Amino acid sequence: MKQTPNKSLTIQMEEGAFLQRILAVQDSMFRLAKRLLTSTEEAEDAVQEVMTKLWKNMSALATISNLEGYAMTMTKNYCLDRLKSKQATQLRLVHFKHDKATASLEQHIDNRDSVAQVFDFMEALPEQQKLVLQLRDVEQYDFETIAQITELSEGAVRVSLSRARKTIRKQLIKAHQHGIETGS
Amino acid sequence: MELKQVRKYIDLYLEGNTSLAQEQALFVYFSQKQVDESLVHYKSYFAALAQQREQRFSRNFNPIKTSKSLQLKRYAAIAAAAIAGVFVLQQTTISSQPTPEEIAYKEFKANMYLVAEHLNKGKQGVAYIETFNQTTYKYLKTE
Repeated sequence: MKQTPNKSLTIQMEEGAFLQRILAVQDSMFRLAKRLLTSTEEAEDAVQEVMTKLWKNMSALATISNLEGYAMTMTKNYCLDRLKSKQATQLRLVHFKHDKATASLEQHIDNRDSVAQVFDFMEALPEQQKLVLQLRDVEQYDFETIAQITELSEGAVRVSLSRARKTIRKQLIKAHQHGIETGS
Repeated sequence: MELKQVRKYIDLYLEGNTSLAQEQALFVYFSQKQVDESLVHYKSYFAALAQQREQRFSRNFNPIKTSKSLQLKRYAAIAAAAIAGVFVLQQTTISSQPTPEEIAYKEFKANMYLVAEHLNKGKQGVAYIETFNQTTYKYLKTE
């Protein structure tokens, strides 16, 4: 009789601890999902979905040491799958492009927010570079973790990262010069 | 950090060869107000990174709570079913006994039938007028 409440208490404590470990990654998961899916709504849905999956697999995952890396890999895979199924629908792709065109036009007219412009540059990168840049420059993961999340070699991660940074630099210089020209 | 050092870090950074500590040093350098003219274009990039790190997941994920509320929902469903059952039972008992309105309606209906019957009788009387007219036309030549 005395053992039953004790047991449920330990389960509750385990659940609580596991939940805390998931919640510790939620912002990084969200930022990654947002970077890949663009829409906040879709990114939140993705994170919710991945967290639910993690929660359901608690018994198998409770002993994993690098839960954070695992959660990020799952988020990445989930988002890439979403993008693939999105691209399969031609209509939505056209719509997406149209949206982007008007958005950048508005930004061009405004020409005020250089930070928003940087987001556009990051957005325009190829998928893999986008992913690596996000994990390193925003989330500040070490190369080993990034390699694990992206399922690439560390060498490939560095190459992707270097390409992404150089592309961004080129666009920063271009935007800066354009700013000086219009300013004078 | 000295300008020479910053340039060196940037070169390493672009090759993907900086450590996290060196990247943090660059981040700190570009977060200050005054940055060397030749490097000023990097400023917006590091500002964008800072802004991105501020983004938070705004939903509340709590599966432990949901399992509790699921139990609550179950109780609510049982209660709702019981209330519905009582309501249906009440409805059926009420419908077996006619309400005063129903009684009034039935009486009114019977009265209206009576009125109609009498009207029809009156109409039959009117039919004789036609025969009367026919006889008058016999004697009164209108042409």
